[in-house]
Amino acid sequence: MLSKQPGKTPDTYVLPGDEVGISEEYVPGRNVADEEGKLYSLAFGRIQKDDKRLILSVKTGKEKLRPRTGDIVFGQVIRDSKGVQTVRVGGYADKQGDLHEIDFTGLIREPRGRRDDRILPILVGDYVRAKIIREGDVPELGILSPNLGVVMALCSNCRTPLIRDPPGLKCPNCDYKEQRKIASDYGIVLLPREGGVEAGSR
Amino acid sequence: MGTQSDIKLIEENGLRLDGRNPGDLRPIKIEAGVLNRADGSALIEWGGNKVLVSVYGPREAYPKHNQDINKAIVKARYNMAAFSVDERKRPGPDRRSIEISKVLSEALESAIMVEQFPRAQIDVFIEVLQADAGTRIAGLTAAAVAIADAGIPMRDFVTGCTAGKVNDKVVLDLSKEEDNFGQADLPIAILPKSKKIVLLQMDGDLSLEEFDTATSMIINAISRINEIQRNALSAKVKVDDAGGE
Repeated sequence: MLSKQPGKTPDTYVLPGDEVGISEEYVPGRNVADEEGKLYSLAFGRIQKDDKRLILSVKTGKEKLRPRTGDIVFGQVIRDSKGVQTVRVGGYADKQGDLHEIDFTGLIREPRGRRDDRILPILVGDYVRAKIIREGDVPELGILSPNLGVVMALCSNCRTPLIRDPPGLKCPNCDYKEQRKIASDYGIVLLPREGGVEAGSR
Repeated sequence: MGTQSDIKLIEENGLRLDGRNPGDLRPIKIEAGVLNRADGSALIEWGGNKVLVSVYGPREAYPKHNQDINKAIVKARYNMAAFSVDERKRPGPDRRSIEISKVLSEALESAIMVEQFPRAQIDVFIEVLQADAGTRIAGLTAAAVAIADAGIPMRDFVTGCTAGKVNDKVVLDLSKEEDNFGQADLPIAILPKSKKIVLLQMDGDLSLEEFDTATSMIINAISRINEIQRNALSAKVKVDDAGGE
């Protein structure tokens, strides 16, 4: 325990079983138990005191983030098998626009019955912005809106980041031309609440 | 308990084969948060034991017929690596590891606030990398740290220690030779705050007086071991605050 004294200040770490206060002063909140007038921590985490509502709780920092349908995620395509792309997701923006770090795998399926040349491909190694269209153990992702799709792609020849060359993409190194289902802001990705972070080459 | 023999496990000066006094513990080192992919993890080095514990959950219990509508189920899996002992151990569960997994699950369940997670399961994987007597207790002690590291609410830590009888003398924290050739082995795990016993097994014979002596030795040692558990988590906070993550 970092401090053994009761009545700890906020931002103090506590361990299970530590005395964190008395029930005359605070109501036990999340991860806090009241035992004979004393409040004990039930988890390893930071004390949070809500002095307005007089609630004392312990925040563990291990609360699992669960992306919901409609959340926007960012990830990299790691596998392409029979029209199903596997994406390793590294971050997601919730509906409030906050960006969170996360680690899970999602799938992008080719729309059924629309397998023709008008559907532009995404390839292994591409970085994509996608929307969660179905939750589950392996969430399904969609990239059909104009702001969704590839935000950075690498040249299939020399792995140099591709630049826009309407109507497609071009490698600045070997001039190889490629097609992708790109997002409208390909090359300059505006991350939510981050004020425009340049992720691509240009 | 292994085979009884006339091997001298305690010298004339009262010291044990490894130079310890009867009430001494072997060196213990615990490190929390050693695995990135697990929700919580810990590595314990207790004498010659090396045990790695990872915790996943609480998550929806599968198969669904195992779900308890009132509480989470704790599934501990104790496993000895093939290379953990002198002669290669055949991999996979055996009678001993199934029994240990069961008693460890029950010990951990009494400390975790399982009522908060109906229909869920908490998986605790206890992998013995190197065995040197007292692996179940080392695994259980590290499991409590890993569960706390996973942010799972618990009433208290679970802390354990063994005692036993060697050359007619009660000693704390048996080494491999003492475990193999001693007369009795008594692993106990306790919730340190409430002093509630959550695991007690005994192999061999102890008189009532010897049992009382062994128990009080263990209870004394447990406060020291609990301090090591708490320090492991505190050390993790210091590393995180210093930007070590």
